[in-house]
Order: sequence, then structure tokens, then C-alpha cells
Amino acid sequence: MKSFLESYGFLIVLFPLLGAMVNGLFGRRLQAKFGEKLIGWVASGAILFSFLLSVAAFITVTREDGRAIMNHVYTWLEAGSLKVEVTFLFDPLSTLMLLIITGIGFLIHVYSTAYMKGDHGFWRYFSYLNLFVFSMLVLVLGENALLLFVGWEGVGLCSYLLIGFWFHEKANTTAANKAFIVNRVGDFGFIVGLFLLYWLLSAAAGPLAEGKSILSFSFLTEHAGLIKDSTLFGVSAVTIICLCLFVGATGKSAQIPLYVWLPDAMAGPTPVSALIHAATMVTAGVYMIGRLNFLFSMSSTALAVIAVIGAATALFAATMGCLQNDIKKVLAYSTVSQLGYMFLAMGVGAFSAGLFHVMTHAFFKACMFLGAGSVILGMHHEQDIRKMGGLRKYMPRTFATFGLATIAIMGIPPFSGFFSKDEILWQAYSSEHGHPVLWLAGFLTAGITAFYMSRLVFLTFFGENRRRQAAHDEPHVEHETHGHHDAHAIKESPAAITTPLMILAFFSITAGLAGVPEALGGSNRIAEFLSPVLGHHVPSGEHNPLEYVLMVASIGAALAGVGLSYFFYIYRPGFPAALAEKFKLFYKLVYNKYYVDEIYGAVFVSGTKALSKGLAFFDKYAVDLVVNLSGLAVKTQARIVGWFDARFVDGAVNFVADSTLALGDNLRKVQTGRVQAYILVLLLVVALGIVVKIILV
Amino acid sequence: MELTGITSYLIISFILFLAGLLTVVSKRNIIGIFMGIELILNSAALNFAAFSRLTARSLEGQMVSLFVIVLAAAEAAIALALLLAIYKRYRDINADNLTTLKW
Repeated sequence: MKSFLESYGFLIVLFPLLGAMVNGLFGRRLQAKFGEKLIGWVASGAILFSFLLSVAAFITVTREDGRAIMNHVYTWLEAGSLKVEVTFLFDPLSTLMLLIITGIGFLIHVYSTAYMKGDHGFWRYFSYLNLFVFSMLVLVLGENALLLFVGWEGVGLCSYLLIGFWFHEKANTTAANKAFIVNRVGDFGFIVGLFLLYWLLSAAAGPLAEGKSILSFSFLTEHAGLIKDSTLFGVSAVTIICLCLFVGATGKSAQIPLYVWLPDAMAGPTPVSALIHAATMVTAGVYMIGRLNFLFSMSSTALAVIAVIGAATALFAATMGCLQNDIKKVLAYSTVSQLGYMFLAMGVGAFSAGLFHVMTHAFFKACMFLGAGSVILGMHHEQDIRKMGGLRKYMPRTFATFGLATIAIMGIPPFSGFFSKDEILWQAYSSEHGHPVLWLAGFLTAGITAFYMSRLVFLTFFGENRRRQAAHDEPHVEHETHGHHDAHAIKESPAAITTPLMILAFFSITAGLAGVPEALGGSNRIAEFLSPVLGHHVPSGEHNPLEYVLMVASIGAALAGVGLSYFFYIYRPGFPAALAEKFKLFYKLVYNKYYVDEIYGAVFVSGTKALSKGLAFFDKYAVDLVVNLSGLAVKTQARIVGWFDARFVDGAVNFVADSTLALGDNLRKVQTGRVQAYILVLLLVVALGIVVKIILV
Repeated sequence: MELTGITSYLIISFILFLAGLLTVVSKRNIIGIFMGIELILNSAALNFAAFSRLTARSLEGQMVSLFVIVLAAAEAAIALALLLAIYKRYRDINADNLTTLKW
């Protein structure tokens, strides 16, 4: 007897798709007829159903002790040895992601109903949002790498659609294009990796692969070992495959060198940033590595590359976040930096720690982004933190939730960020793939993260409101009294916005409890839970005292970061400017994000353009020349043939005709029509005959 | 050359035929052409009569001669009637000018 999940698991994926289709196909009319409410209800309802089913799935999987449950829907394609099934996989890893996606997704849908109020494209927005959740669910639930790739591309597309949602502004469409193209670069690596994997494995497995879906995760898990020793160009094939897949992950999860799209992606509506660019899509790369952990574990080279890139991204992006003035850009760099942490964890083989951080980060980063959205709404679409300040008085709920999420990301115990980040740092130091330098990078990042996040909070919520001073120079008291009638008044956002914030803040605090390490008396339940997929978690009997030392050190770094930022932005507000003056060159370098965009622009964009120009030149002068010359040759030849034709062929035909005509013309004269003439001829001929006869005889 | 028996008849007949033929060829007047035709017919009739009398020893040839004479008379009657009609219509009996039947 099949369980519910085995037969109807696909409903989780189907609901968002239906929502997207209803809103996408009929949304315009529905919105005109029934208003925005219905659109919001349809979209949020679809996700809510998914969420409820996800909870059920999660409970089922927990009960099954982590046994994977498959819901086979249909065979997508079958051609020769290639067989791809549409099967959805429910195991600890995918159900955990499921909860994050649908849970946070639902909150963000609710939030969006308030945030997007009055937008002309309300229906379009929700249709995209649902489509995005659908793609993400396909990505996470797909039981084979190709289905994962479908979702992978789907989220890329939806991300493009949503970043460029307000497409009437050119900057937004440019950002959307950038995101899409950079993602495509990554996707290219990803699909090359899949090709290699399929090619090598189908050759290595031989008869084993008969009638089986080679790219399905169950097959891969069992037989990936077959290609362990194969080489390609003298390099281990597994390493090449892993690095190709990792290129895909750097694109999707915004790692060096393909992180550049994420900060620009902030051009989209803020809830989109929360959903796509913080909580779900960017974690796809981490999820993919977690899903294929058995493959990555086979190549320590690939793991080392991932760890180094992760650590470098974490540090690099954190420094860039320090000098950004756009509230969303700060959060964007923070996301890149936190994703660096996750990849660091993956790279040192601490897969469960990485996914734990995915979970905690999803909560607090979604909370922060939504909080930022609330601030932006309150500030009437002002995003520059230099023009904010003092908002804690006007927006107490936003401030409280944002503050809690900030503490969580800084890694202050017992907030969630502490547990996941510390697990990563400890693994970076102690795991067999780890290295103290990796730990150092993570440690520094922790301090810098605390610095820029508290800078953001201090500048936004503390002190005096600088917008008012700058714009109106109007006494503060007057604002308080007239606040309600003033169109520019800063006021708290509605409940549809603050409620999701509070729920997310709650989880930002508590989500960490799922993974309290043994060193602190917990049992690291999340690692236990994920162990069927990520390999067995071995609880170490004794605790290395160093673990405590490192823990205290990272807390110290976080506190130092906060202290520094307090000193800079509250105690001595003039100090940063003076410091910037002193280290002008360095300041400019960081302020301009190390000129990476410019370098990419110069190297890749201009390079591509120059290449195109060169090719165009080649085309114009070399290819066209050949084409034109051959054209000329054919033309000349045709002319000769034509001349010959006219002269000789036609000449012969005409000659026959003309001579016949002339002959007829001449012969015609004989036929006079006079009977006498004919008779005369007759007579003469007879006479001639007689004469001839007489002569001959 | 001995002009006995059939030969003298044939020579006369030949001269008659040639005279008729030349008349037919050279005359432009339809009546003249007609006269030539009568001469030719008569040369033929003469031949019939001569061969019938001198070689066949029967009357068949002479009968044909009578037929030819009768025929010529009938033909002449029709032809002259036609000629009168043509003349009435065109005021002309020059054979060269009467080309209407050519096309």
C-alpha cells in the first residue's frame, strides 16, 4: 500500500504552479474585476497548501527515520540509454529545504500583499512569485540531476523576471540582464558537469545502467564510485565534474567570481530580494553540493577549491558591505558573505553544518530583508541609510525584529546564527579538510559582519532622523504633532508586514536550537536528522577544549565589531569620515567594491564587444570578400554562358527558323495561283521529258 | 516517215492538243481559255474515233467521241451561263483579275 506522500507528493509542487497559472493567465481580468485581494489570496493560498503538505511530508520523513520516499509521477523521456523520470524525492534534506521554501515563501507572500499594494502589475508579481516557488520546489524535490537542472533554470528565469519587474526603468532591466547572463555562465559549467557525469558514468556502469535512470540520485549514490579512478586529460574526472558543478553553484549562489549579479539584483521589489536573493534561490548551490555530497567527497581537490572560494567570498564580500550606503546593498553583500560561509562549510566536508547555516540564514536574512522593505516603505522609497536614522521611534516593531535578526547574524549566543556559524568555524578548523587559515578567514568575517550589520542598525534606527534635517529642516516636535497628516510622515507598516517579521524574528532566535553542538550539551539534532543523506554524523565522545576557545574568540570578534561600529557611528560620528580621508586610496577601493564590476566590464563585457567587433570586421572584410568574389566569379561565368547561349544556341535555332522562312518566302513566288502558269510548267516538264527520252534513245 | 494508218490521225490530234494547250496557257480571256479546252477535248475525241476505227475494230471509241461532244456542249452551256453571271457581277472576264475563289 502506497503512502499518501508516495502517491500525492507532487501536489506540493503542483499548487504553486496552479497559482502561477491562474494569476498569470487570468490575473489581469481577476484584478480588474475582484481587486488585488483575490490575487493575493490565490497566490498565498497556493503556497499555504504547499506548506501544510510540506509539514506533513516532514513529519512523515521523521517517522520513517530518514528513509527516502519517492513519488514517481511519469517518465519524462526515454531515448536509448537515457531515461529521465519525473520523480519527487522526500528525504530529510529535501523536506528541510521544503519547509524553508514554503514556510518563508508563505510569509513573504503575505508580506508582499501589503508591500505591493497599488502596483499595476500586482497579478504579474504574484504569478512570478508562485512560479519561482514552483521552480525552487522542483529543484529541491527533483529526484534526478536533470529535474534539478529544470528547477535550477526555472529559478534563474524567475529571478530575471522579478529583478526586472519594474522594467520601465532601464537600470532594473540592466540588472535583470546581468543576473541572467551571469547565471547562464554558471549554468553552462553546471550542464557541462552533468554531461561529463552522464558520459563517464554510463560508460563505466555498462550493463548496470540498463533501463535505469543514470542521473537519478539513487543511482548516483550507489554507483558514483565507479568513476572514482577515471581520468580526463590526466586529471581526476571526479574533480573536473565537481568543479564544473561548482561553477554552476558559484553562479547561482553568488560566489567569487560570479557574485556580481546579486548586489545589482536588489533592483527588484524588496520581498523578492528576501525570497530569492536571501532565503531560497541562492541556497540552491549549497543544496546541490549537499545533495551530491558523495560525489564531492570523492575529490578533496574540489573540496579544497570550494572551501577557499567560500572563505574568500565571505571575507571579501564582508569588507565590501562595510561601506555601502544603500540598505539593500549592505544586506546583499551580507548575503554573499554568508553564502561564503556555507560554501566554506561544504568545502571542509561539513555538509550538515552548511545546510544548518542555510536554514538559520534563511530566517534571519529574510527577516532583515523584509525589515528593510518595511523601512523603505516607511521612508517612502528611500534606500540610502545616510538619510535615515532614529527610526526606532517611528517603527518599533520593525526595529525590534530587525535588531533580533541582526544579533542572530552577528553570532551572539543563543541566537540561531551563533550555532550555525560556530559549527562552521569549528569544522573549518578541525575537520580533515579544514585548515587554520580557513578558520581565520571565517573568524575575521565574523568580526566584520558584526561591524557592518551594527553600522546598518545604528545608522538606520539610532540617532536623529537625518532625512528631515536635510530635506525640510523642520523642528522635530512639529513633526510629532502633525505626523499623522504629514504625507511624509514615517509610520509603522501594517500588520501584514509586521506579522511575518515577528514570526521570522522568532525563528531567528530559536532556529539555532535545532543544532546545538555536543560541546554545549546539545545533540546536534539537525546533523542527526540529515545523516541519512549527508553521511553519518559521528558524535565525538570527548570535547576538544579548543572548541570552547574558538567559540569565545568568535563571540569576542563579534562584540569587537559591534563596539567598533558603536564608536564610529554613535560615539564619534565624525570619525569615519576622518578615517576615510586618511586612508583615501583604500577607502575608495573598498567603496567602489574593489572595482570588480569595472574590471569585469573592461575584461569581459568590453572584451566580448571587442571580440564581436573583430569578428564583425573579419566578417565584413574576409567572409564578405570571399562571398563577393565567388559572386563575381559566378556572375562572369553566367555572362559568358549567356553570351554563348545568345550567340550560338539561339543563333542555331534562329538560323534554322530564318532560313526556313527565307526558303518559304522564295518558294512562295512559284505558287502564283494562276492555273495557266502551272499548266505551262507541266507542259515544259513534259516537253523536257520527251526531249530527254529522245536524246537518250 | 510514212503517214499511213493511225499516225496521221495522231499527228493531227497532237497538233490540236498542243494548239488547245497553248491557247489555255496564253489566253487571259476566259472565253479564249474555253476555246482551248474545246480544242483539247476534240483532239482527244479524234484519238478515240481513230483508234476505234483503225485498231479496235469496234464502235466503243466512237461512242466515247459522241459522249465527249455531248459533254463538251453541256459543259459549254454551263460555263457560258457562269460566264454571263460573272460578267454581270464583275464587268470583267479576265481570268487574272477574277481571284475571289483563291481564298
